[in-house]
Amino acid sequence: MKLKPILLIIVILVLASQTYALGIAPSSSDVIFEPGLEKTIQLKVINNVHKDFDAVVYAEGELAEYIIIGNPTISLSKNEDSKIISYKLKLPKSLEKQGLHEARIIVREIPKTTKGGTTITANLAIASKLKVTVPYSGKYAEIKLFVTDFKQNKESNFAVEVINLGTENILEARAIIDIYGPLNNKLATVTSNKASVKSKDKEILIAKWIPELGPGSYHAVATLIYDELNTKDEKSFTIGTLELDIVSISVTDFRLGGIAKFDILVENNWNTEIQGAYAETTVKDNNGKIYTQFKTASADIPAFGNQELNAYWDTAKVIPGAYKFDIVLNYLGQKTEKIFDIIVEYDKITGSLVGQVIGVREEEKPAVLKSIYLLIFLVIILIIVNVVIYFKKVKK
Amino acid sequence: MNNTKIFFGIGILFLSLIVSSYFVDTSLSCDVVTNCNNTDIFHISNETNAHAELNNNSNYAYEICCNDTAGLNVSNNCLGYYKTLLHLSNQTNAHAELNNKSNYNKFNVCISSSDGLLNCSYESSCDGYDTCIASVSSSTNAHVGNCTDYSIKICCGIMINNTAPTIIANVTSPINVYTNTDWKLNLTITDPDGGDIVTGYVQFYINGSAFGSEQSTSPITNNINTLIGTLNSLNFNKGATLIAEFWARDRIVNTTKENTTQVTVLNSIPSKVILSYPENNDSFFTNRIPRFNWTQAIDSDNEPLTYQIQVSLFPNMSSPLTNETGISNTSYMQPSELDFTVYYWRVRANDSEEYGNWSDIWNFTLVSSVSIIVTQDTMNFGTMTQFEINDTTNNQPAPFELENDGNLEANVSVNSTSLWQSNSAQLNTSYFQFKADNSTEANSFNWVNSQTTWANISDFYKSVIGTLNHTDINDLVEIDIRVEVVSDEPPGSKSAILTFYAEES
Repeated sequence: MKLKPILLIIVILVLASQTYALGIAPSSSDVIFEPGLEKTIQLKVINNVHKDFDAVVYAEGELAEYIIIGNPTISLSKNEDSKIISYKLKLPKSLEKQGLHEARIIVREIPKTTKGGTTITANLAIASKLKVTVPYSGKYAEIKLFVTDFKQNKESNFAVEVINLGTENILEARAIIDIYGPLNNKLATVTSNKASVKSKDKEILIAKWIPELGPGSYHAVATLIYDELNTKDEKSFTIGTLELDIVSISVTDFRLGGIAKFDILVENNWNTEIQGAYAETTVKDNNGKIYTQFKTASADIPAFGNQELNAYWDTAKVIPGAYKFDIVLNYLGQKTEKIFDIIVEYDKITGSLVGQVIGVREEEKPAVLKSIYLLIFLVIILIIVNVVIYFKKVKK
Repeated sequence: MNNTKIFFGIGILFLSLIVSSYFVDTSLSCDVVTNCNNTDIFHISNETNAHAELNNNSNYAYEICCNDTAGLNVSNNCLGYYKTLLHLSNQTNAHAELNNKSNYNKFNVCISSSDGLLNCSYESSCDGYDTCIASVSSSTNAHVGNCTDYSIKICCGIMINNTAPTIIANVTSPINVYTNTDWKLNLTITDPDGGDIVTGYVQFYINGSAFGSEQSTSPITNNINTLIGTLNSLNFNKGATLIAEFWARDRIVNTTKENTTQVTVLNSIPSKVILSYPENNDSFFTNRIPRFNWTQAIDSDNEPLTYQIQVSLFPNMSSPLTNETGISNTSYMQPSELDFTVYYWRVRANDSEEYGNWSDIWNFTLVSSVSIIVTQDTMNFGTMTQFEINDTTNNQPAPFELENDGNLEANVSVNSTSLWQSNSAQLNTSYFQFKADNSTEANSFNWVNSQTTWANISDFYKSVIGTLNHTDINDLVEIDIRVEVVSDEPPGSKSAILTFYAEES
């Protein structure tokens, strides 16, 4: 008799934990105003979690009256991961103000029927902005700085996209890129090529750079100088790869049967402090039998510096011999793993590196997956509880 | 006088050249047999001390049988160019006499050749001739025997009017040899002797060792470049040295053997890479840290390959933003987020010695996307009583969780339909409220710009999250809901539809 409510709970849990998702790309579209411009713009409606749903599509905002939606309602099936929709833009002969004018094309799911009790059902709506810029009188440019993943002493490029949003041509534009360190200290400056940019047109300027700085995070500020005017954009970038290194292990004052304290020396090659690094250690024999596992305290590893992490092993039931000491260093969602061969003797433990460094970027599971795992876990727990209750009843 | 000597000398030299180049010894061979498969010249009654008969008789078992080892025509006709070997006294059971005697003029034993020049003589020894045909006991009225029987031996040789072929040109191909290209030898041969069958020969050498000899498969036409032999590429490796020794032969004589120029098998460049992801011309590409993928290139030398990738803002691939070499697998993980624009990319393989050709240039347009996942679509507070207050801060029920699955930061607003029926608990009252809170992924949104204290839910959108991050490790936020049952709320099921509205920040 008690089975029914438990099964009901399971069903409710399954139903209640359905995910809901909606996406749109691009999230904004840029148009430079031209009198009477007619343009069809496409959007991609994204069905990330592969569900059947219907949605309405409509425009809002200042420019909504100039937008004609092709299909005001759309349907996506669970087999479709996306659907392309389009709208037509018919701009007037003039817009009063120069500068930015906007509209939003909104895709909103049509809500489903609600359930009993006191229930609140989530619904999603997403917007893609339409940005229409009326060119500014005179000269006016906007820029976008593109950075890359630089490597020490290897030439690469900054790119600066220049968009002329003015009514006049830009005769000469060049970008100066200042590079700043973590303490906001200017470390280098590079200059791009020069170019002229016609009104409503765009150009890309290139600034070559061979970084002679150490690995780390830096900040680039690009200043475009164009016909005695200027504008800026900035981006952060890196040189090299962030990776903590496990330099060595050592054990001092050891007696077999006591607690072995492993000093794990960690080195930071990055130009900023790495916070919250910790190691997970495992001692195994050569057959893979695990003797102990230990998680160290977290520590901050200073920029371009070293820090010790300590792991402990109770050797009360350990016999002298060869073991493997596996260290997985965790930091900023990354892992570095090294395996040491250790020799345990009566009065000392010595170690030498056998494994190679394995840098692993920790893969974050999407929330959808997390909830599915949670759901499966709950269902299993409930089934176990149910079985236990059933057998207790049978015994009675 | 001097001029006369000079002209005479030149004449001798010319003549000797003519003789040496046009008349070539072949080999006439004759034997006494009992079953002649070649040219039956005449018959004898025994190997020694025998009578003779013409070849068109069949009384004697022993046949003088001749042939030319070079394949020249040899016959027993007494027509055309022939030599009379003996006169016989009769067709059969005959005595013989030498051809310079005239007692028996009716029955002659002859040897002839339509394409050879015969030279026959009676000698005591056949040294200097190709063969001994038979021997006779005397100049006339003689018995006949094999060559060891009598001292007068009938000796013959044959010469041919032949000119050796000439190899005009030898060509190996291709000029650059790789481990995936067969190496071929072509010869252009000329032979002035009409009707001669000319064959070209080749002996290949790999690293100095003979490997595979071949000859032309069909008769060579004069002055026509003809394939003589092919050395299969499976037989040599990169760096091997190849030589072809070649010669030609008509049916009589070989030319001298010559060698081609040595070639070294070159490194084969890897094949052109085929790109696979991001797809070409994708104008809605949303992954800001894509893993560029391509198919493995092929290297005929089977050397390990690495790859070079370039990513550029320009269709001509100038000034690439990414120029990564030494990639050991067929993908490249973009280390940091790309910005929104059109990208062009290409890949080529390297075999440690040379680069292969660049792949085609592909492009994709990286566009911004707003995408929100709500981890549960319904929240149920169950049965509530008057004055009861409940919220999701204690996870009973669980709050809504919003994940930014897009590729840039997003702002989120919320509105709702009315939950309660009571007039005193409509929207915009404290009976139905919301707020943002941290999830298991801290720092996912801008706390200051977000609604983190209880706010009344409205039918118009109210901002709840300002700047929701999109990076996977920090893109999850909780939306707490608080409900309170007003005293005059009529009983029954209550429901509301809460709409989360997201747009780029």
